[in-house]
Amino acid sequence: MATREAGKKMIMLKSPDGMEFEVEEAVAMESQTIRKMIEDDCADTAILIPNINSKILSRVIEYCNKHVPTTGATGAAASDTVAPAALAEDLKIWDAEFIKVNRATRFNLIQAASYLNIKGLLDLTSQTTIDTISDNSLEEIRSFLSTKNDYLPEEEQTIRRENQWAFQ
Amino acid sequence: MTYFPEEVVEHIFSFLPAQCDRNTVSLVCKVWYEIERLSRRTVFVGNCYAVRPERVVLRFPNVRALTVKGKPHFADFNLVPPDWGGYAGPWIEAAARGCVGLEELRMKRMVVSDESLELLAKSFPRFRALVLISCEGFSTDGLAAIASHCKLLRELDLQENEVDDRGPRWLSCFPDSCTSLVSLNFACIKGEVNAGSLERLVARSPSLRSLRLNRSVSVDTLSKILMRAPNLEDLGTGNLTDDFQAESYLRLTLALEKCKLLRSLSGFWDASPLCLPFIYPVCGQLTGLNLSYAPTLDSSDLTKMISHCVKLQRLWVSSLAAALTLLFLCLIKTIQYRV
Repeated sequence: MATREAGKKMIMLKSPDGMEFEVEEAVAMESQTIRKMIEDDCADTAILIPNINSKILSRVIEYCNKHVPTTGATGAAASDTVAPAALAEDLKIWDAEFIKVNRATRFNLIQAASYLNIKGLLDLTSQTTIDTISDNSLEEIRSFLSTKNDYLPEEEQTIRRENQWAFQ
Repeated sequence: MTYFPEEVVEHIFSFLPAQCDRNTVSLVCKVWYEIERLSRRTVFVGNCYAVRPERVVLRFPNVRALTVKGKPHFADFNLVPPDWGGYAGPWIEAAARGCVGLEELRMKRMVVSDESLELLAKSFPRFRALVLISCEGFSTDGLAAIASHCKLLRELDLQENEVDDRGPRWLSCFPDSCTSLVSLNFACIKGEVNAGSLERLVARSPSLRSLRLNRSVSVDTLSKILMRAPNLEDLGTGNLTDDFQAESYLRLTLALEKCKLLRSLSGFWDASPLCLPFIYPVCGQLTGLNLSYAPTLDSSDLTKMISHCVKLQRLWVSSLAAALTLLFLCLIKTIQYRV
């Protein structure tokens, strides 16, 4: 359902729980997946985004709105008068605030960024996850990720020993 | 997190450059172990006998940059028997069988044969960096093989190796299509190199940033090379001998002054104190100065030279005496020095 509003092309995104989001095409095209659909003319009606609920999808749209390049006809977040460096700094601060979410939300955002192919968002969420990994012990990582340790004790010991001996 | 698609986990791992962090995630669960081992691009083996080469290749088949260290540090003082081991052959053979995507190999204190270098040169189509530090067992024939076959070579760094010299041919083996060199260090090669080949190689390497010559390279050749490499950041001079001719050194000064990006100087083989004033004009832009190969210069020469190096941050000298003499300068200028 591509419509026109104030000279900007709009795109309708639908989440599986029935919510609809009308966004500017340029914002939606921050997602390489959606860009491809639009370029292949598969986006005449509303685009259904499977597996991403409305809560997460609205956050993703918020991210794309902020990150859409200012050079286009979109006139999104930033004005032309701001220096690029200051703009980048502003984005960084905004990103840091944006990613202050609980673990489940962050994991959902990673999945959404991956499916929608939004590199900036995937990098942001991945980096945040990595920071958690770097700062914690193995057991903490496992519990934080709700991952089950499927190693036999001797298997784990073998890898641990090889890591220590050969690859430290 | 195992419910993430593998490529997402791999993407997350790409933010984990430190080997110790990658080791940790390999222990989380089996799926992560698999994803981590298949995506590890950089492997560092601190002791070549801590693990078998075949095992490394089996676990990390997609490694791009491999570093292996051989003999212990005290081998530098001849305290390790000659048949101690530390052979590079098994590592290069294993990699040639199991990871043809290898692009970078760094080895320290290992025994590297010409056959191994030849195998290396022919086995890895995307190979681009060879760094050998304090290695032995090879000749310039092995280097000729690397030069001939590694068409994408960016870095050939030979530091403090014992290289059997079989003539100047090796440097002429870089094909005309080789234009990718960023760093070339052959300071440890004892024999002559062909000045024309060297000049042509430098001229067709627009990305060259670091060039460390050996003592066979004359002042005239050095000047010609510098005119062809205005983007050089790091230079190891050839010999700067007593065979003093003012015109040659004036040309050198002119050529050095064209190298606006030059930040680091080493070499000074057989340097005569008379030639040093011709270096002074670039001293003001240097942040690094390595004088450890300049036994012909006494402390008053060095002190004079260093007094021109107002931006110096790192200084290498060969002996404690030299270091002590220069120490007061170091203190005044708060430069960091190494013996």
